[in-house]
Amino acid sequence: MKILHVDNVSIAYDQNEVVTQASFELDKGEIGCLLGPSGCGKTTLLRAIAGFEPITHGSIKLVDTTVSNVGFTMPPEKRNIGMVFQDFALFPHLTIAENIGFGIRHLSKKDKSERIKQLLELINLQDYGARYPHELSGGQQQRIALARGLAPKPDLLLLDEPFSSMDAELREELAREVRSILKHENITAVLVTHDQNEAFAMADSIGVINQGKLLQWGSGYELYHEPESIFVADFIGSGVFIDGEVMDDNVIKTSLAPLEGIVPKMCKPGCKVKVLVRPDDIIHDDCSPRKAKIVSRVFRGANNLFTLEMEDGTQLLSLVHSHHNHEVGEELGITMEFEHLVVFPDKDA
Amino acid sequence: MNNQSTNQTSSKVGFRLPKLDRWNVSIVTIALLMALPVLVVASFLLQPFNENWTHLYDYLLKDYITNSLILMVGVSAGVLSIGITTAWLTSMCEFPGRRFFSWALLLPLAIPAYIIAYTYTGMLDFAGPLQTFIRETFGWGPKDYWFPEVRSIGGAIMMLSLVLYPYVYMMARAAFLDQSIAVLEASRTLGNTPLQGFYRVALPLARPAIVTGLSLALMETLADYGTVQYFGISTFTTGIFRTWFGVGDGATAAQLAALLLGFVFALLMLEKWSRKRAKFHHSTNKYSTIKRYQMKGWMAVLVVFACFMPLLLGFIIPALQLFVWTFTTAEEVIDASFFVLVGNSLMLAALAALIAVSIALLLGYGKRLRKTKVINTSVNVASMGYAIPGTVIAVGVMVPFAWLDNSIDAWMREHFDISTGLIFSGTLFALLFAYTVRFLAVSIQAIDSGLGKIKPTMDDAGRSLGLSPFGVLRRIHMPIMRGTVLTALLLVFVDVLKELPATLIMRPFNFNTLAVRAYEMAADERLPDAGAPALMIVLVGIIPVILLSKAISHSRAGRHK
Repeated sequence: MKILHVDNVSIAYDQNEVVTQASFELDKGEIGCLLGPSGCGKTTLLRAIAGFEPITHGSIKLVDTTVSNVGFTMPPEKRNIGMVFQDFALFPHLTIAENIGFGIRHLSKKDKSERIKQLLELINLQDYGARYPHELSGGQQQRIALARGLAPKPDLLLLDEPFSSMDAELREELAREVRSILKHENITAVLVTHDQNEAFAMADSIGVINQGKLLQWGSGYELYHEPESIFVADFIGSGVFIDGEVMDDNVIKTSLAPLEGIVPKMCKPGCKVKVLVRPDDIIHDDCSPRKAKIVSRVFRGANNLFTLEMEDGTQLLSLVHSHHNHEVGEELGITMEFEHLVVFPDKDA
Repeated sequence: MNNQSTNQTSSKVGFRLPKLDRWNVSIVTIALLMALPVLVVASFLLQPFNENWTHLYDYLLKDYITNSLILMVGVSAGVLSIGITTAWLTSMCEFPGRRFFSWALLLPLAIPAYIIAYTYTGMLDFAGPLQTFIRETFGWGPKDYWFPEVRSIGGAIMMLSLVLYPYVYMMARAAFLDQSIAVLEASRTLGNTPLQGFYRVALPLARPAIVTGLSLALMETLADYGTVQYFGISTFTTGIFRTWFGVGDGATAAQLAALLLGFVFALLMLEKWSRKRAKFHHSTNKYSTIKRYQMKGWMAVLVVFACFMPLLLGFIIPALQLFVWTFTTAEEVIDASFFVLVGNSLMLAALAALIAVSIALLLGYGKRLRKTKVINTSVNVASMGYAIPGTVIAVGVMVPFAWLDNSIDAWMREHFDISTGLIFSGTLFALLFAYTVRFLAVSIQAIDSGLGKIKPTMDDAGRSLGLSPFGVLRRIHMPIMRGTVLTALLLVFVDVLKELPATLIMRPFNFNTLAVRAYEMAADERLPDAGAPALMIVLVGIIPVILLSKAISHSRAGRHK
């Protein structure tokens, strides 16, 4: 069952269009993510889904009800949504239990305290009900905010950069924890973030947004290996673009080697193209006759990220197992394995 | 499609007038009303100057200006030396009683300058206990010895410095506590002694805050009427009174007030400028606990002495004197009329507080809900009054109200043959209006800081959890704002209770307050009889000082965890 339909939604403030014709859908229990650099319009889109911003084009449907339309915005309190805020926005004058119970005051006293107890257990803070928000750590406050949003059993939970105020080490762990809580409750959710690792750890499907446009909607795998635009290819993961020329339907001549793979239809033979080379496409092999000079090395524990320079000056990235210890300046033997060829027409040429 | 939508929106390009909604209209109206006295006073600069002005210009103005300047220079030296020293000692050094001094040093703020002037005059005057004691002990006659004259410009500087230094102390202390310890430690590793570190690093970093504190103290100095009048020093405020009541020339009084405004605006500029610079002087967001320099032996004695003197001279001695006077005169002074006095004062202060805080709430929420330039500017204009001396506001309110009364009276007489007399001027309404202009800023500041604690996302969270906008107000804002509103009420209440010159000029006939009674008794050379009303004012004035001291003891960021 589809829970959320975002259909061709545009949002504008005065003259500025902040979001342009975004469309996506979420199934019951699916966790979607809006991923993009800061200022790309992702939070605005989330706030429009929540009902805090009117939309100027398209429509938003929640379950079977149209909640936003041009000229109509159902107020947030009528939408049966939950929201977790970047700064948590816990009410400082209420205890943890009162915060969680804030949205379910229509329940009987017994049901209410039962639900609060159940949620405190879910977030593993059973003994904290009587405390006040300021007495808790950031991670604990974050879970309280989540529990408060979940308490009324909303149709849709919205999370606005919920981990951005956490320490970097905590983020991924928390993201996995929150994911398992949401899955446990079978809640449909939309997450907004600028951090792709967070998106990969949390979401089932991810939409990349840039300058107000939803560029691609898909799984993390699809975005990484089958990016549909240069921006997505560049934004997700790391890698470099090298120049190439289309030889025939499935071969591209590059300075490295002729590469085989699926070439986009619009690229006719003779076309100049850009080919994406990911660090995992370049494999270290001491026996390989092909050598590249190591320009720099970043130790990352399990592996090293090398920046390599070919004879013609082309620079590549390569992930190499940590056991292979090579110094900057050395020649490194490499082979190439392009399982997915990512090719874009070269607009500058 | 894309083009179409951009076209639609771009058709709105061009200058747009702010929408005429309820917020805009009411907030702009309030700002205009609050600016009215200043505008009226300033407009008199464009009016022709009459012969009273010529007289003033030839004989008195030079005195007003020199005396005001001497006062400002003297008070600057006084408040800076006391304020900075005590702030540094209580924030950076460890010595017996440090925690006590860090709040007790604020206590002189509870004593209005004119009241401390009365107490020291009572003690140090020719007929006072000290000189009498000296004469009796040594058997000297009146001309056999030299004793410093309290009722002099030097005395006024002392009095004002003793009660105004807390402004500098407060700001400097906050700035010192806000500084990164790492910066000071860096200066030590670069070869500076603690004292050199203070002069070369801490003091320059705290300078913007100190300048803000100083400009507040100087605004109070310019606004002072009670002290200079009692000491017989001619300044702008006494000049305005003289011209208004003595000569009965409103226009010239207003012109004099406009000149005083010029001084005030110079100070306002200084304050704005230093506040702006303060942003660049914030050294860190990472805080570590301060490691204070441990004071031992004679150094500790010296430090305690340095902190105790301002407290002793600025609060303990004058407060004791007031107690003594109150007890010796209680039988005659505290009668039914005294309670009428108390009732009047409390009623006036409470009404003014209610009005100012209601308006501040309206402005605060307007600013929160409509983030427009018009509203921001309006709120800034409305909170300008704290800088304007009460005397100036009184003139600026009386002049238009008198004009209004005369116009209504003339019109009514012409058409209905009824004389309406004074409707606005000389009524409580006019007085309350003046108080609101003067003290609105106090309540705006308090309400703003309270509203700042309610993050906009809390409103959103409330809505997402099923509350209507009214529900958000009732269930989130009201419980959180309750304390803030009470604080704002209290601050205005106490300020009104202490206010002297505006009350003196504008009170209705035969309507007295505690401040006015203290002033009248002192003017009649019945100082002990001024004790009881003055003591009342000081006692109530201690309440906000306690609130303030609580706030500053919790003010160090990064420490509450």
